[in-house]
Amino acid sequence: MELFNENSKLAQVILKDHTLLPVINRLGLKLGFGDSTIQQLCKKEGIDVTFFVEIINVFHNENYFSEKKLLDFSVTTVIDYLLKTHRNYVDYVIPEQERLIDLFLSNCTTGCKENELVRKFNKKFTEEFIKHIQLEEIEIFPYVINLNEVIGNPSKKAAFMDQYKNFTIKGFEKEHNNMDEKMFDLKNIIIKYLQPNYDQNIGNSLLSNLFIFEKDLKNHSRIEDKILVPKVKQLEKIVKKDE
Amino acid sequence: MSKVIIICDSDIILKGLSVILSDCNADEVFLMHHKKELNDYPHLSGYILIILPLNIINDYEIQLKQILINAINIKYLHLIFEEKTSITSSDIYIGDNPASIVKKVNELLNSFWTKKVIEPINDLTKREIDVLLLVAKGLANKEIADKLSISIHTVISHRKNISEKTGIKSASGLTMYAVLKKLIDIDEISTSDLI
Ligand SMILES: [Fe+2]
Ligand SMILES: [Fe+2]
Repeated sequence: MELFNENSKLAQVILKDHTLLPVINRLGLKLGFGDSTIQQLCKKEGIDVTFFVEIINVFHNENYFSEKKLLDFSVTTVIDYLLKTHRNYVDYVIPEQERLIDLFLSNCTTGCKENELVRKFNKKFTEEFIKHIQLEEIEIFPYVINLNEVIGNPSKKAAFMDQYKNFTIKGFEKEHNNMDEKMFDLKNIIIKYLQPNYDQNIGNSLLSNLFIFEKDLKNHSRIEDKILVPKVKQLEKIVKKDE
Repeated sequence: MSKVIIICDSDIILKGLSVILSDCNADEVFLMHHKKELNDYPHLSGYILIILPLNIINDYEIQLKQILINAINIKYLHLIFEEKTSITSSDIYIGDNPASIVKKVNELLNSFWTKKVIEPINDLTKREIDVLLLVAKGLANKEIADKLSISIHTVISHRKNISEKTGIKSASGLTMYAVLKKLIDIDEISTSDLI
């Protein structure tokens, strides 16, 4: 398993694994970084370099997950990253997928009624996904940010306890489902079951998009489940210890 | 992605058939005077129907398969030049009327799909298909257990096997699978909220 570190040149990292491109964008970096190392680039942009390295390693190696290290980051850093990822999904990845599906269906010759189900399936996924994101952004993340503020400023505790009387992260942990599952399914449906009566090149673009999106969603959920949730549990313990 | 290849040394027959087949279901029709011209098309892929005279040497099927390595499936129709009583569904008599020739070709082209539809289904057991259909209709595990009089544990284990065999995990994914396998009617789904 290959791991990147703060002294890796970012251009080399990208040349090795270009699927990291959207990830480094969300972390706050743009292309054109010459021979600079991750350390140099993060310093210049004011990005937490350890967090940067951990996230790209999580994405690059499916089996890599240094929960210990990731638990050291502040929840605000984690949430900031998660929010940027949500924006990227809503503003780019989902519309791009819709565009590819439209294109994919526009070339259909026979059996198009079946192929149209791809659009319906994707639409249902998108609706669920937007709800999923909204729940996190409207309920969960504000709770975590408020909780975190209490740690830094105990005078806010009373108001916090009042607002979130019976709220714990456990509820979210239980309900939080894997949105990557549907992308996995759509990928398999196209590869295995749909009649190939569409332009193969467009089909390939759509599939590439699905592969990337599925992987991205999987890692996104991993960060929420394996970093955010345990981190919040820690904070809850501290804040609620004398209740 | 289906193609028709006509191989015949007679230009009259080649051109005549290509006009007749211009409105068959194939995406493309290729005309060749000799089977060795196939060597120029090794990239031909997908479902291929080859129409050729019956008198072409016996082992041509193996040879053609070796050339068309990208084909998913190859089927054949034989051209018969003399009227005889034993014309089968795999023969075209050149005296046949154009509509019946097109019909024969389309039937064979369609059979590529129907065959594809049937085989993976065999991988699911009868009970798994029962469960699949109920999942596809939007029932929860508990409801399925009640309906089939089995334990919820059994339902979960069936679902796990179904997902492993089909590569589909979500309920709406399985609904789509059931439609594509023609296990449920597409019109039932198009207006519903199941997918
Ligand atoms: Fe999220
Ligand atoms: Fe999530």
